[in-house]
Amino acid sequence: MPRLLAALIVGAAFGGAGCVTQAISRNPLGDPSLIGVTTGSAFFVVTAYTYFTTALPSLILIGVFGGIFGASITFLLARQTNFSPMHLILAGMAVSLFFSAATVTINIIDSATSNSTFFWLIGNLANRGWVELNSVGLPILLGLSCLLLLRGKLNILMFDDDNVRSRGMNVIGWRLAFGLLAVGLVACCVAIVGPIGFVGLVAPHIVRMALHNTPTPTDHRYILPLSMLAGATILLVTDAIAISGYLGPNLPTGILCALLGGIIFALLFKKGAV
Amino acid sequence: MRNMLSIPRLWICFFAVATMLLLGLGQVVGAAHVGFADVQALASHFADGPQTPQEQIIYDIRLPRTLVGLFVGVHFALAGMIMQIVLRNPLAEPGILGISSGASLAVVISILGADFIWGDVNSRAIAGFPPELVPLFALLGGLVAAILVLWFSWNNGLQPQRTAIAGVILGIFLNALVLAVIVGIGAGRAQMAILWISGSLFSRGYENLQPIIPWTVLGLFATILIARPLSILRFSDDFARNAGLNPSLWRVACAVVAIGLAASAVSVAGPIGFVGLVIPHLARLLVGANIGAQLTVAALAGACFTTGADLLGRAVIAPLEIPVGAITSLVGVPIFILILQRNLWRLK
Repeated sequence: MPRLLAALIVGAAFGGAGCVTQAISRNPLGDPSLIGVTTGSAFFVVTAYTYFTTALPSLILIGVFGGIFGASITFLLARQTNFSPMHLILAGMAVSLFFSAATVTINIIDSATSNSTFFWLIGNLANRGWVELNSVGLPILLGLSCLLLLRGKLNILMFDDDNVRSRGMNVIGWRLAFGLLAVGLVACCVAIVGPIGFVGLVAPHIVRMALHNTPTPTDHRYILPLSMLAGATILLVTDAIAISGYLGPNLPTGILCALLGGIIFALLFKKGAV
Repeated sequence: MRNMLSIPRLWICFFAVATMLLLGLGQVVGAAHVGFADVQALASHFADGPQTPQEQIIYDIRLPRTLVGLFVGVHFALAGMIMQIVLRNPLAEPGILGISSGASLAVVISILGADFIWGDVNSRAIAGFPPELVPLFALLGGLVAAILVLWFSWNNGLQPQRTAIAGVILGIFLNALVLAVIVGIGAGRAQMAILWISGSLFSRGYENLQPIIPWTVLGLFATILIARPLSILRFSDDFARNAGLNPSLWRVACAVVAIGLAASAVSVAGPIGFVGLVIPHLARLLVGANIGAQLTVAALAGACFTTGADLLGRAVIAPLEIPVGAITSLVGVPIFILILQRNLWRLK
C-alpha cells in the first residue's frame, strides 16, 4: 500500500515537474533528469547520507539544494546561446554525467553504505514504507497544489519574453518561481525513490498526443494536471511490471523508466522535436 | 638538425617518457607495499619469474593491470581521434556516441548469457565463454550502436550537437539494458554492475590482456594504413574526391577501425569515458596539423591518461579504489563543457 501511494504521488510530481520544465525552458525535450536536477540532487543526498546524516527531512532539504545547484549550472552554461534547446540538453547531460561520476566515486570511497545506495541509485520503489511517505507526502502534495493553482500563468510564459512583459508579468520572477517549485518536487521524490528519469519527459508528450484533436492542444490549464495523472499512471504501470517479476526478480523501476523514456526520446528526436 | 627537435617530436618524446614513468609507478602504488627495488630486482631476472612475494604482486597483479590500462588508453584515444575526423564532430567519442555502451551490452549478454545457460548458479566463477570471442561480440554491439546513432541523428546531414545528443540518450538506454541484464540473469553479481558500467581496471590480469593484444596490433596497423585518408577526410568531400578518394567508402572504413578499437577496449575494461574526447583535442592543441604526429601523440597521451587515472584511483583511498572511468569522467566532463561552450561561441 505505501509503495502504491509512493508511486502515485512521485509519478504525479515527476509528470508535473516535467511539464513545467518543458514550458519554462521552451524545450520540448525537457526533463528534470536532463537538466541536471535529478543527478545533482542524488549526488548531494548520497554525500550527505554517507558522511553527515541519515535523517530524512534534512536529506530532502539537501536534495533540494543539490537539484537547484545542478539546474543552475546547466542554465548558466546554456545562457550563452540564449537557451537554445540543443545546447540546454547537451549542457544538462554533461552536468548529469559529472554528478553521476562523482556519485559513483563517493559510493565506492565509502563501501559500507554502497550496498544500501546501489539499488537506490538506479531508482527503486521497493521497501518504501509509511515513514518515507509521511515525511515527503505533505511537501509534494503542497507543491503539486501550488502548481495546479498557478497553471494558468504557464500559458503566458510560453509567449516570447517581450510579449509576456507587456502583459505586466515579471518573466524572470515567474520562471524562477516555477523552476524552484519543480526542482523542489523532484528533489523530494529523489530523496525517497532515487533518481528515476524520463517520467517527466514522457508524461507531457503523451498528454499532448492525447489532446491533439481537441480544441485546446497546447493549453497548460489542461496539460499540467493531465501530465500529473499520466506521470502517476506511468510509474504505477512500470512499478507493477517490476513487481510482477516477469522480467526477473528485483528489477528496479528506474531501469524500466529509462528504457521507456529512451525509446520515446529517440522517437521524438527523430521526428524533429529539436 | 632543426627538424630533429621539432615541436611534435618533442611532445612524442615527452609522452613516451611519461608512459614509461607511469608504467614504473604503476608497479609501486597500491594496497600492498612494493618498492622500486623490487621492480628493479624483478626486471633483472624477469625470464626466471618472480622470487619474492613483492615480485609476485608485481608479476601477477600490477604488471598485467597497468598494461591493460595502457593498451585500453591507446585504443580509446585513437578511436576518439578517428571518430572526430570521420564525423567532423568535435564532440565525438566512443562513450558519448553510445558505442561503448553498445559494446558493453554485447559483452554482458555474451558473458552472463553463457553463464546463465551453462553455468552453475551456486558457484562464484563465471562459466567459460571463450575470451577471444568477447571482443568480436563487442565489435558487433558497437557497430549496431553506431548505426542506430547515425540513423537517429540523421536530419538532412549530420549536425554535431544532434549526433552527440542521440549518442548520450542511446548510451543511457543501453546502460539501462545492461543493468537490466545484470539484475535479471546475473543474480548475485549486481555488485559487479556499478564497477563495470563506470569502467574499471580492478583485477584485470593476463587473461584480460591476452585477448586484447591481437586487436591492439591490428588496430595500430590499420591506423597507420588509414592515416593518409584521414588527413584528407578532415576537409570537404569534394577535396577528398579531387585527391582520388571515395569519401563515403573511406569514412565507413575508418569508422569500422575506430569502433573495433573502442569495442575491444570496452570488452576488457568496460566503457572508460572521455579518454577519446579529451586526448585528441589535447593532441591537436600540442602538435598542430600533422596527422601522423597527432595520432602518435594521441596514442601515447591516451596511455598516460588511463594509467595515470588508474594510479590516482588506486592511491587516493587505498586499500579501496575509485574506478578509472569515474576519474576520467570527472576530468573529461569539464573539458567536454569547455569544448561545447567554445565551439558554440565560434559558431555565433
